Amino acid sequence: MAEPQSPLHDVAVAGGAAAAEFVSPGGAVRMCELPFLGHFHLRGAPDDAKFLSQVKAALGCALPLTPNTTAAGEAGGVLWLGPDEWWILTAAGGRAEVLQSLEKAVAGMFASLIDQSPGHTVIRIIGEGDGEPARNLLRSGCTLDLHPEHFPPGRCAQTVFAKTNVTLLPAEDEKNRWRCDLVVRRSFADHLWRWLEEGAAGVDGGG
Amino acid sequence: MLLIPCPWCGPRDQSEFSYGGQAHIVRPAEPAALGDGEWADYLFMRDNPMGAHREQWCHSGGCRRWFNVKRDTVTYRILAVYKIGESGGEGEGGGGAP
Ligand SMILES: [Zn+2]
Repeated sequence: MAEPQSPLHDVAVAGGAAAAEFVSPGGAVRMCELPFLGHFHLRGAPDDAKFLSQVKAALGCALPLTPNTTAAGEAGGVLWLGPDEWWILTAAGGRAEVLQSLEKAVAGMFASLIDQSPGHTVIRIIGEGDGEPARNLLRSGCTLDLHPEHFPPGRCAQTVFAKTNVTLLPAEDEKNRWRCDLVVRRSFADHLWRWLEEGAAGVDGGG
Repeated sequence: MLLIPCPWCGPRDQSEFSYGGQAHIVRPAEPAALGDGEWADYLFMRDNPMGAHREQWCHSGGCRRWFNVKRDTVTYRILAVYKIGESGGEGEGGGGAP
């Protein structure tokens, strides 16, 4: 079997790195790809107690039932996508194991589990300083209110970003920097990356 | 541009939504029993009120759920938002996170 190839493979090769990386000219916005994560799409009835408890046992956390919120379990992050729809994002290593335990959890139930891993990738935006330049970059691509008071860590939002569908996941990293992960479809990753690279030059300097 | 309160996601920009026409049009239980006129009426004829209009919207760029909106066609003011299957009285509106 051939090695899997990230949709941003060419960007990584051009930069001489294992995965795509970018720092804006003024240093206020950093960007990198998180390739090959597990992206598992789960649907089931939110009022089915057995479904909820078995998935909880498999993930190590309960499925978030509040719209546009996330949960963190041993297996990875869980995102609310709809009243009966979730995404489970897991680290690249251990992908198969998580999928297997989820398969077992929902076997024979009125539920659906799809491995969408090869169809998506994640672009991580890290804001240096107060994070405003990075947020301004994202503000120029979508209409969400990205102020940390309104869109804090623990939330997620699906939106139209630079003409493509993107799911945004804000967080604060270990250096207290504001960051946001953008989940995007594989075929739009190159477009989104280049759009962000170009835009980052314009929001720099303020940080 | 409208700010539409999705019943799940809360207020979002109109650019995230798609429009689905008049709401609450019930498919005839026995289509075969209908004449051409009645069938055409079901398929094509829609109200065009000046004022409150109940219509379907889909949060296609967000949570991808269909829901109903009661909107004033003159002022564009959104009078009510309610889920599919709900009756849509006044005051039911969007909540949830942004
Ligand atoms: Zn929504």
